[in-house]
Amino acid sequence: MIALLPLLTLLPAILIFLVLGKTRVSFRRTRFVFTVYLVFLLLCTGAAFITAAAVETESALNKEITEIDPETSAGEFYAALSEGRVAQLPEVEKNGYWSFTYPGQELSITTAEGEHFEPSIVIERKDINDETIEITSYTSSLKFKGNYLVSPPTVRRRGEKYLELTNGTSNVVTTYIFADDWTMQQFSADRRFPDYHWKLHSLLGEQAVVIRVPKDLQVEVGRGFHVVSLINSDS
Amino acid sequence: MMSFHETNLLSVTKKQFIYKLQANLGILISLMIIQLLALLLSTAGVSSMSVGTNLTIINLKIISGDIIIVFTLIWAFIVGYNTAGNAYRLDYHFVTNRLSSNLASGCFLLLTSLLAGITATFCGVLLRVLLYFWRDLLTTKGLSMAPALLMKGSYVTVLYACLLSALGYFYGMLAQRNKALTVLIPVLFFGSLFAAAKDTRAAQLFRQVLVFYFSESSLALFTLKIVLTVALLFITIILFTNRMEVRK
Repeated sequence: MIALLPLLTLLPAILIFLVLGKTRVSFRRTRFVFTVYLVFLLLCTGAAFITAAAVETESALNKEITEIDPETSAGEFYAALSEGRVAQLPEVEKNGYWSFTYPGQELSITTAEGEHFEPSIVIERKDINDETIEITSYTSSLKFKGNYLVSPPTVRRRGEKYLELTNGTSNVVTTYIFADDWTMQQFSADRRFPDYHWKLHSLLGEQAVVIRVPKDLQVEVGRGFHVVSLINSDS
Repeated sequence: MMSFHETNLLSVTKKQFIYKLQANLGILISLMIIQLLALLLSTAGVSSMSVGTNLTIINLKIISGDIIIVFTLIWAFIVGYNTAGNAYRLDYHFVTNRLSSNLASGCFLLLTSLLAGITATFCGVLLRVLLYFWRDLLTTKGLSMAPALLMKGSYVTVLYACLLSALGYFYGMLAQRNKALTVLIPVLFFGSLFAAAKDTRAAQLFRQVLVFYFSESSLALFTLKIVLTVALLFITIILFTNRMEVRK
C-alpha cells in the first residue's frame, strides 16, 4: 500500500493538469487565489516562529536530544550501577518498586522459561537481617507523552523460595522529527543526522533492577540474567 | 498585410511576456494544488529509521519539505515543456520573431520558477506547523527555521526550478522541431537511469552530471553552474530556432 502512495498522489496531479489544461481560469481570479495562498504561507511562517519561540523554552527534551553524549551516558550508568550509586545519577529515575517479607534462608531468582531478562541486575546485601527483599527498577530512558520509553519489569513471588522477574510490556513508539530540506542541507556542513541513530539508542536509555536482600540470605540466580555486580557480597 | 510600425526587440518581448503571463497564469493554481498534494503525502514522513531493544522500538519519521520541492520541480519541468508548445501557438498574435518569443518565454519561466521556489520552501513551513498540532513530536527543534536558512532554501529551490523549467523548455522546443524526439529523449533519459543502476561508463557519466549540481557545496559556484547551464540552454534554443519558419 505504501508503495502505491506515490502513484495515488501522482494520478490526481496528472488529472489536475489535464483538467486545468482545458479550463481557463481568469487572470484576476488566479491572481487573487494565488495572492491568498502566498499570504497564508507567510502567516504560517510567522506562526511557526511564534510557536517555536514559545515551546522551545519549555521543552527540556529539545536540549537533551541535541546535546546528548552517547559515549558517556551508558558508561556512567553501568559504573554507578556496579558501585551501588545508580539512584544518585541525575538522569536516572525509579520506575518500579516492590517489597516482600521473606523469612527463608535461600532465595532463587528466576525468569520465565526461555526468556532473557533484558534489564541488568545488581544484588545488594544489606547490613542487617530484616527478612525483607526490596526490588527497585531504575531507568535512564526519556519520558515520551508522560510515560517512560521502557516499561518496568513484572516482579512476583512464586512458590516457597522463588522470586520471578519477567520483562515489562513491549513498547512501539512512533514519533516525528523535523529536518531541513535538501536544498538547505546541500550547503551545510552537517548533513542529515549523521549520528542520529546512535543518539536514539541513548534516548532509550539503560534499565537495571537492584535487588536488596537480607545480610545472610543465600541467593541463587538462574539463567537468562545479566548480573552486573554483587554488592557487599563475599562471592 | 504588412505592418509599417517600427518595433524594437525590448518592447515586443515585454508585450509578449505580459501576454504569456495573462494567458498562462492559471498554471499557478495547478502549482498550489500540486504543492498541497505533496504536503499531504509528506505528512507520513519523507523517510524513517527505527532503533530499539528487544522490548522497546522507536520508529522515527523524518519530516521535511523534500517531497514538496520534488513535486514543484516536476511541475517546473512540465511548465517549461508546455511553454515551448504554447510559444508555437500563441506568439503569432503579435509582430514577432523567434528571438523575442524565446526571450519572453525565458522571462515567463523565470517568474514562475521564482514563485514556485519561494512557495515550495514556505509550504514546507506550513507542513511543520500542521504536524506540530497533528503528530507526537520527539522534539520541537526545527519547527521554525532561521530566516537566513529559509532564504537560502528558497533561493536554491528557485535555481533548481529555473534549471528544470529551462530543461523542459529545451525538450519542448526539440519536440516541436521533430516529433520523434518526443519519444527518443525520454527513452534515452530512462535508459541512462537503468544504465546508472549498473557500473558502466554511461552510469559514471550520469552520476557525474548529478554530482556536478547536487553535490556542489559552495553556493556561489552552484549559482554560477545553474546560471551558465540555463544560459547555454537558451542560447542553444535561440540559435536552433532562429532558422525555423515563422510559423509551422
